Amino acid sequence: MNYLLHILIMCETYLILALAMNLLAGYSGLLSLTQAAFYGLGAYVAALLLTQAGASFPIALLGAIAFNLIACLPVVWFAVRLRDLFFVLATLAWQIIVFAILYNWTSFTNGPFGIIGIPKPELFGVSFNSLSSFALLEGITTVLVLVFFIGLHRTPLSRCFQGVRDDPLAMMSFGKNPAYFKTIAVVISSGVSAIAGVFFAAYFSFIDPTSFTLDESILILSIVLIGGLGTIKGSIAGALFYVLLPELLRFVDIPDAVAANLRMMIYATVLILVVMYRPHGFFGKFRFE
Amino acid sequence: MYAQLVFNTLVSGLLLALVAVGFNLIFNTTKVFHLAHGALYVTGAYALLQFEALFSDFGFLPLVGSLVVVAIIALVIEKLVYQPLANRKAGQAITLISSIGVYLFLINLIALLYGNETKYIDPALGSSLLFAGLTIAPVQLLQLVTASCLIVGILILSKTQWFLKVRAMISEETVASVLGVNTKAIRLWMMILGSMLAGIAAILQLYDTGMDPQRGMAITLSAAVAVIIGGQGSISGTILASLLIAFLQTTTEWFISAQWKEGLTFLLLIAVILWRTEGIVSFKMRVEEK
Repeated sequence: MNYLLHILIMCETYLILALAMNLLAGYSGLLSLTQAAFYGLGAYVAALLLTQAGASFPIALLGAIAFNLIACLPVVWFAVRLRDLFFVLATLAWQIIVFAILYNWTSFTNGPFGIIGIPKPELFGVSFNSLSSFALLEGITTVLVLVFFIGLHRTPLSRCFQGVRDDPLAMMSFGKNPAYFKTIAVVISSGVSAIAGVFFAAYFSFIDPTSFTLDESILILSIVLIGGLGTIKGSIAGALFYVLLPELLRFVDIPDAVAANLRMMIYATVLILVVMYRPHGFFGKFRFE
Repeated sequence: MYAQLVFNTLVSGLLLALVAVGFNLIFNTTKVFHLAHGALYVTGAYALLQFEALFSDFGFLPLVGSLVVVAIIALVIEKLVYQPLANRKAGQAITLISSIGVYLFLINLIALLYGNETKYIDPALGSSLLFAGLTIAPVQLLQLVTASCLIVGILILSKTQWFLKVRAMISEETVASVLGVNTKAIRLWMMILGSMLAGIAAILQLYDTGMDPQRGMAITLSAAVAVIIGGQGSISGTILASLLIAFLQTTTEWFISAQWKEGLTFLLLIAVILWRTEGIVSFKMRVEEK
């Protein structure tokens, strides 16, 4: 049972991340490699607020989101200034810089040793210590995030994101400033990623910088590429596929040491095949040319 | 002490330049942002380890064998992934993703077969030399000589008649193919040549500090930064930028901490992308007009 709950919690975390990533890559056409940096900054801010400042869980959650709304400014700047490959490269660079900061600023983040003893969430006097209650709390949050995104993608704002993605020139001729919509998309995506980071930190009670590397960013991006760009269904399918694939391998009796590599090999193969034969992903509406 | 710093910078800069020139040739001809270069780099070192274990008595055979392996893998990648994507006129962003997929596949295959721990090999070159206050490890000398010879070789190659076709293809692929340049063959040759350069750099690195599967990414990213900073299509710019990056990395290692060197390299990349997209050497038109 605990095993299933663990899988559920991982699915929820990655679903939040995939939805945030899809807003950037799928709806706004920004192929960003900084999602792990957003996610990691959220986790670190919450962990520091919970352990050092003794803040309560809701305060830490709001603090992390608020911090991330501002901390994504460099990425906003890249999104406005750069396109295509140069945007990808700049976000890749930013991801590595954030990792270097988390890893090296030892007095603040405790560097490679990470932060230990992050308390489990407590809300209105109820403690979410058990695995099932934690899964429930994160589940409710995930559903709220999902509803937020479904709502968002029904508004004219989301149409503007897609318009900027498909034809920035046309949008400008309608009097819409592409930079404005790119900014909003990055800020929302960064804020939502913080939520996943906070739950990640609270769930494992321990974080260190190695959870937030470039590899993680690549994985999050590939989740939406495989699942499908520009649809909610795509994010869900991608997150489920990513979390459930290794669990399926567990049933075929492969030794653990081999399983981690084998899983990445299968994953990489799927990524290559998707890129070559189905650039929309499983359920996507948009493809990168 | 400063002489030592300069010498170390030169050696690591030339090693980086080998990888970076390979990346440059591949990136400019295939237009793929070839992150799988890092996987081919690691493959070169592991192939040598494998061949050394099998045929250690046959002199240069392991070395030649590992370069052949690298060339074959490069050929397979080009034929199976990059060429079909190019035929479909896929953009740079999506070929970058496919390259990441290839990288993940190869690295995890190597880790699966040989494990994640660092592998060493002893080239048995004798003890360090002391020369005018410099401590020169024999392996550094080997690196310096091999890398400079290869780089000079590439620079000479880039002045040949044949390389004109490559340049034509770099600047205008469609026109070049219309005028009878076999662009597919050039792509293939550049993939093989570039990957072999990376393989040689990896073998030289293996003799020095050993190799583990994760090491390819860091040096490929540094090489990519060198190519971007050096300017589009410019081989000498790439070499210069490699030396600059090696200088930056060695000085951070000496005076601050080894952990910051990647962060600083990428800060430099962001600065160049935002304020001087055309790179430090090239004076052509901006590639990325706002």
